[in-house]
Amino acid sequence: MSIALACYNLSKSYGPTAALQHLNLQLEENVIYGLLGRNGAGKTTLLNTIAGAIAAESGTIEVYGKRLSKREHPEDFCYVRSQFRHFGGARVMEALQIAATFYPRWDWTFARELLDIFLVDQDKKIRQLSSGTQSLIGNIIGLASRASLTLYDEPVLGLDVLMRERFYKALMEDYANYPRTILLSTHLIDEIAPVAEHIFILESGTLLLQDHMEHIRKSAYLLRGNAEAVTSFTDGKRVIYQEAYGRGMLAAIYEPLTDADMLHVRKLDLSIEMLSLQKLFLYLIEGGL
Amino acid sequence: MGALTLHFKATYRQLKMYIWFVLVIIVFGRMTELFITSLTEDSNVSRLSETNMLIILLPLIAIVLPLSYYKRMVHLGATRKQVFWGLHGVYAIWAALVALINSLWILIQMKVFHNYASVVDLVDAFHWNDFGFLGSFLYQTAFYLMVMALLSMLASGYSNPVGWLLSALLLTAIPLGTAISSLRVYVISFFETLLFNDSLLLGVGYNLLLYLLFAAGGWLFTRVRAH
Repeated sequence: MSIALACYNLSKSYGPTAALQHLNLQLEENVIYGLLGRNGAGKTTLLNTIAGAIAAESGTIEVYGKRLSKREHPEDFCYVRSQFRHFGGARVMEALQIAATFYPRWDWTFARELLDIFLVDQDKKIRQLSSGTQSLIGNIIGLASRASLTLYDEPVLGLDVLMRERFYKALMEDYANYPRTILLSTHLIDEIAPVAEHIFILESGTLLLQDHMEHIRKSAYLLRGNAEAVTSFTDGKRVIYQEAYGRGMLAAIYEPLTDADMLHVRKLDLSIEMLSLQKLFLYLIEGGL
Repeated sequence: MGALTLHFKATYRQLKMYIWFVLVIIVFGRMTELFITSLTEDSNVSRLSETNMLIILLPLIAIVLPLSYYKRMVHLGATRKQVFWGLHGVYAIWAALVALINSLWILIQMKVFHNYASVVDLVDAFHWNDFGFLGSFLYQTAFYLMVMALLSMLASGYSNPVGWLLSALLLTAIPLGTAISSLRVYVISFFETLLFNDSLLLGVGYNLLLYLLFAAGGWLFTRVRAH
């Protein structure tokens, strides 16, 4: 698979606060990526830097092998912001008509279909819409643009569960028909798990974890039991979090387990459960790896 | 939809309120003036040409658009370059439109209404009508464009320290230049060359040169603007 986007050694700070620190990241072509991180981890800064909205202090960005100059807008690219600045007085259809001129692969049939799916009245003025519905306009642009590299910053922020599900469904269906590289930043971690094929977890401007979703599912476990037994089992394994309680211990590990490992767990009388993406995220951030 | 049509429509949407406000002010101003002059005996009260008031729209457009249009367009998918060229296309349309209206109105006043004696008209004041209809139109368009590019450049640099420095320098240069007698000669000569040039070619040329300079400055600010 070829590389759609590559960031090398990206650094960016706001005064004394480092938002990105020597960050390296690669996105393969036609893969959906999830970008996770708590508030202030550097997610929006990373997306803004890739989009050319702001300039990194150091590092380089390549899109489809082409090195971008500072603040350069990548070609065949769409960035859906969480803080989308709309023409408030414009009607929904007018905003879409403007957006359509900037995307060569814009699909009007799909855009109209999305208006129906998201129950957005195309004749309404944008300022008359709720903030959730306003953010749906950005999502419609992101989907109908069919740009080969699409970034979404918190696309489901402010949406009710019905609209969130409809968005994920529309995204997955369209992606299946028109594969492209998509990077979704979100706080709703467990919702992204069935959508994303690869996950990046960002903390303090650096990547704490990056892995395939499939590998994450096979590697993230939570063990509970006697402290000595837990310590004995986790010895030599990648422990991302541990917490003692009385004689017991809880440990989150990040390592694929074999059948022999599972047998060993049973022999040691430990309880084991798979970690959800949200729990893994939580333990990673709490434990600091 | 062509790129320029798109930008013109989108900017009109953004400016609609300002444009109608200015037009209403002009109409109300003229009506008040007519009412007051109808009450007085003196019929030789001089007044500013009605269409000259439309010039107010141009600085308004050049200041409002870089501030309010840029982010909205970029968020819809435009690049900095597309927004920049779009705005300059829109400036050119408005500058040409106001120049055309002013060039036509002075002719109408002189040849149709014959009520030109008490009217103060910038086209006449700067002797642009000496170059004929087309010359007056060209001179005005170039001058309006130059002023719009200057204001647009300053507005585009609002988030840049260099932009603030440039605005401060320009704001201090004009009163300073007119206050110091040794500098005043140069200031007057500069504005004479720009506004009262006896040669249409030189007048339009100098204005267009400055336009290019200010447009380039505007681009330097736009290409580093965050969004």
